[in-house]
Amino acid sequence: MIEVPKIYELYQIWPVMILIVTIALILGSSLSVERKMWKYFLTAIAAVGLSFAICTAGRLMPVALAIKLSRPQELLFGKSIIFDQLFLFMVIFLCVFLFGVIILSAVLWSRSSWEWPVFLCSLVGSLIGMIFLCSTRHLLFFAIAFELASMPSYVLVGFRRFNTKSAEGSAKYVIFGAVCSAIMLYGISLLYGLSGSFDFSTISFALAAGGVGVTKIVALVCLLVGIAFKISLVPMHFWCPDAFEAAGADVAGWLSVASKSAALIALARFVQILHLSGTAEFNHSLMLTFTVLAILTMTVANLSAYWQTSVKRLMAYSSIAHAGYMVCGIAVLGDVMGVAAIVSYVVVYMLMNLGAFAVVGLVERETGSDDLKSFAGLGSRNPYLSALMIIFLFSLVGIPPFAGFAVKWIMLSVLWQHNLSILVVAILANTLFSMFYYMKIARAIYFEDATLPAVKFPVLASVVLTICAAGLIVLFIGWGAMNTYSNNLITAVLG
Amino acid sequence: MMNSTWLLTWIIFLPLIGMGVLLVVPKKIIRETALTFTLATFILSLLMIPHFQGSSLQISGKDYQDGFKLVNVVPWIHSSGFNIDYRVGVDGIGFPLVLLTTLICFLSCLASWNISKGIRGYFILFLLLETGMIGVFTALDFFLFYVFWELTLLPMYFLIGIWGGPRKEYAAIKFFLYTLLGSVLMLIAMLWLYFASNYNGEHTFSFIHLSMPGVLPSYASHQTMWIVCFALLYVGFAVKIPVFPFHTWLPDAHVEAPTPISMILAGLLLKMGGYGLLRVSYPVLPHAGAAHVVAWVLGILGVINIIYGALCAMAQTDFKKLVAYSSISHMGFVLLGIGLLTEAGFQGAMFQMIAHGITSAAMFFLVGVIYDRVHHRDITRLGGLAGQMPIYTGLSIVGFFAGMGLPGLAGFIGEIYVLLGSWQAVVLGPMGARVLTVISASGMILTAGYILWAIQRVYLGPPKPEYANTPDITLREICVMAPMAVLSIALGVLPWQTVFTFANGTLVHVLKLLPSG
Repeated sequence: MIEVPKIYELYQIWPVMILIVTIALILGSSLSVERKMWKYFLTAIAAVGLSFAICTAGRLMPVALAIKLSRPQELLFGKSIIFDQLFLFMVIFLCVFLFGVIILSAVLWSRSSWEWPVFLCSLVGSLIGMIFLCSTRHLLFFAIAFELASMPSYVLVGFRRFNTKSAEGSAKYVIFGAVCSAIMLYGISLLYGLSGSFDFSTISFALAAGGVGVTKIVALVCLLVGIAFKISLVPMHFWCPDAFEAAGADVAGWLSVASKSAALIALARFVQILHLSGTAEFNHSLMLTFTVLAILTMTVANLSAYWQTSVKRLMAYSSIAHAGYMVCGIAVLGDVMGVAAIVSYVVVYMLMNLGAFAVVGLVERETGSDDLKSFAGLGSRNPYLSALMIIFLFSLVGIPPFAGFAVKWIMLSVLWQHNLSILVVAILANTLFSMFYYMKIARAIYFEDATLPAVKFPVLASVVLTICAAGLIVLFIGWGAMNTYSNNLITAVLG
Repeated sequence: MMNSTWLLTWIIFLPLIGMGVLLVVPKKIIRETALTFTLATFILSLLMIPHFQGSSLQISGKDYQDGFKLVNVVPWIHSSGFNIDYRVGVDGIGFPLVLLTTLICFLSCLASWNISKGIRGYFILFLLLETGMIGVFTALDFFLFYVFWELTLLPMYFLIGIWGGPRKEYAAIKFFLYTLLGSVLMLIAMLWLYFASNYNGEHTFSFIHLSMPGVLPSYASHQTMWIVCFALLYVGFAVKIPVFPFHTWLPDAHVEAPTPISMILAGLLLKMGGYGLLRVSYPVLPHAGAAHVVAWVLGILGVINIIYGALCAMAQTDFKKLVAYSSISHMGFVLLGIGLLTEAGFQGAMFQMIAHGITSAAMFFLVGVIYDRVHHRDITRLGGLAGQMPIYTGLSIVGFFAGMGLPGLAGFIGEIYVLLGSWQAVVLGPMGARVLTVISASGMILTAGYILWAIQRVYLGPPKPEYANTPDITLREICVMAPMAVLSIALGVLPWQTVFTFANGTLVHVLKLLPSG
C-alpha cells in the first residue's frame, strides 16, 4: 500500500529541495564557467543556496509550530520524514555550519583546483544526508540517509589525492564505515522481521509486547553499532583519528560537528521512542548502556589524546571526547532536558570546533604540516590568531568565561537532577584529563620560540574566526537564553 | 555623586575596560595606560571607605542588605529552573580584601616596569587577573563566584608560563592543574548545594540565602551531604591557601613567576582560599564546620602548615623559595584561626590575611629588587648588601621584620590573635587546643629563626667585592615599597582603626551562625 505524497509535502521540505537544486547548479555551472573562475563562482552559488535554505527553513518554523499544535507528529512522504521544529532547526544549524566550513575551505584551497565542484557537491550532499538522518523514524529511510551522509564523507576525507596518508585514512574510514553500516542494516532487517514494519514506533511497541529475547537485543545492538559509528562512540571510534588526520582541516571540522550532531539527534529520537514503549527494566538497562558508553568514550578519548603529536589527530580525539559528554544527555531517559542539553552543547561545540579547526587548517596550509612543531611560537608570529585559538582551547576544556563551560554546566545540572552523579564525576574528571592536551597546544603556541614564519591568511578567515570567538563569549553571558530556546524546542518536539 | 549601587561593578570591570583599551593603544604608552587603570581602580575602591566608617559591630541598618553594603543585583539566568544573578556586594571581610587587591595590583603594576618582552600581552593578562580577583571578593552568587574564581586561572597560567623563570612551564601547568582540580571539586559541591536548596520554592545560588536557616536540608537529616560538601569545598579552598598536602604547587609557581606576579600570587590569590572558607564554607555549612572531626583536622593541618612551612623555609638557599615557604607558614595561621571557631581566631585570621597580603608582597618585591641587579637569588652567595645599598637594606628590614611578626608591625597582630583564639577554643576540648597553641607559638620562633638568619646572611656581614657596584634602590622601587612599609607599621600600631573596625561585625555574625557547643 503505497501512499502518494501530497504536493504540499514538497513545500514542507523546500529547504532540502533548494539544496538539491544547489548541487545541480554547481555541477551545471562547472561545465560552462572557466576553471579559474570556479572557486569564486561556485562558492557563491553554494553560499547563496545555503542562505536560501536557511531563510526558507526559518519561514517554515511557524508552519511547523502550527502543525504541532494540531497533530502529534507530522510525517511526510510515506511516514519517512518527520516535519517538526527540530528538523527545521537542524537544517538551519547545519546550513550555517556548512556556510562557515565552505568559507574556510575556500581560504584553504588553491585557486585553480579542478576538484572544486565535486568537493562542494560532496559537502552539500553529505549535508542533505545528515539533515534526513536526524529527522526520520523510518528505518529504511534512515539507512539511506545514513549512506547519503557517509558516502560523500568518505570521498571528502580522501580528497587530497596525491597524499598517501590521505588515501590511507580514507580507505580506513570506508572499510570501517562499510562494516558498521552492514551490521546496522542487518539489525534493521532483524527489526523488520520481528515487527513487520520499518516505522520505529511500531517496531518499538512490537518489541515491547513480545517480551525479552536475544534476537531483540541483538537487533537493537546492531542498530546502535551503526549510530555509534556515526557519533564515534567507543568502541566504534577507531576511524575518527585516522580520518581526521587524513582529511583537510575543513573536512575534519565538518565531520567532527555535523555528522556527530545529526547522529546524536537521530539517537535521541530513537531512544525517546524506545523509552516510551519500554518496560521499566528495559529503560533501566538502556540508561546503563548509555552511561557506560559515555564514560568509556570520554575516558578513552581524553587519555589517548595526550600522546598525539599531530594536532588534527589530537582534535579528533577531542571530538570523540565531546561526543562522550554529549551522549550523557541521552543517558538521561524520560526527560527532554537531556536532549535540550545536547542541542545547546552542539551549537556551542560548532563554534568552538569551527574556530579550532580553522586555525589548524591555516597553520597547516602555511607550514605544510599539522604537527605541534608548526604551532611553535605562534604567539609571536600571529598574536591575533593565537589569542583566538586560546579562546577556542579554553572553551573546549570548559573554563569560564566561555560558552564551553556554560553548556557543560547545563549538562551537569541535568545529570545531577536525575541522580546520575557518576556521570557528573566522570565529566569533571575528564575535564581535568583534557586540560593536559589542550594546554599542549597552548604551550606550543606561547611557550616555545618561533622558528617558522607568520601565517598569512585573508581577512575573511579572520572575520569567521572572530565571529566564532565572539559568539563563545556572547553565548556565555547569554546562556540562559540559549538554554530556554533549546528547552522549548525539544519540549515542543519530543515532550 | 555616582549612584553607589554601581560602584562595585565599576571597580570590578574597570580593569576589564582597561584591557580593551590596551588592545589598541600605541606601544609607547602601554605601561602608563595600565598604571592609570590600576590607579583609577584603587581610587574608586577608596570611595568605599566612607560607607564603612564607624561600622564596627553593625551588620544591619539602612544601607545593609543582609549584612552587605553596596549590593548590586542584575538578574542573569532565570530560565528552565536556573536562578543565577549577577549579585555583588561587600561586607566586613570582602571590603578590606578588595582594598588590598586594588592596592597590591597598583603596586605590582608599578613593579612591572622592567618587563621588556610582550608587554602588551602582559598588561592585558594582568588587568584580566585583577578583574577576576576583585570579582571573587565581591561575588555573592555562587555561580558568579565560580566564574570569577576560574577567570583568574587563564591569566595566571600565561603570566607564569611566558614571563617566568627557567622552570616556568612546569610551574605554570602544575599551578593550573592543582587549581583546576580544586575548582572541579568545588563545582560538585556547587551542584549539590544548589539542587538541595529551597528558597521560597526555588533553588538558589545566593550565599545570603544559602546561609539562612531552612534553605538547605537540615544537618541532622542530611549529614553526609553537609560533611561531603564541606570536604569538597575545603579541598577547593585548601589548594589555594595552600594547605599541606596540597601546597606543592606554591614553591614552584612563586619562584618561577616574575616578581610582580609573585607579589599578586602571594598577596592576593592565596587570600582567595581563606576568603572562600569565611564566605562560603562556614556560613553555608556551619554545622559541618563545627563538627569535632573537622575542627581537629583543620587545626592540625594549620599547625602542620606553620611548622612544616617554617622548617622548609629554614632549609632554603634560594631567597625567593624561602619567602614562598614563609607564605605557606603564615597562611597556616589563617587556617588555624578559622578552623578553631573563636572570635579572636576569626579576627586574627582576617587580620593575618590583610597583613600577610602586604608583607608577602613586600618580601617578594624586595627579593625581586636584588634579583634584578645580580641575577641570582642564592643566599649563600649574597652578603653584606647593607654597605652597598643602605636605603634598600632599611626598607628590607622593615619588610622582613613585618613578615617575621615583630610586635609593632603588621605580622604580629594576626598571629597573636590567632594564638589567643586557639588557646580559648572550646571545640577541641581544653587540652587539645592548648597543645596546638603551644606548638604554633613555637612556630613563631622558627619564623624568627629563618628570617633573621636570612637577613644576617644577605644584608649584614662584610661587603662582598662582586656587589661593589650594585646600584641602590631606585625612586620607582621606593614608590612600590614605601606604601607597603608604611602600611605594615600602620597596621601593627593601629590594628583596630585599620582592619578590625571594618571586619568585626561580619566576623561576629559568621560566628553566630555556627552552632555553639
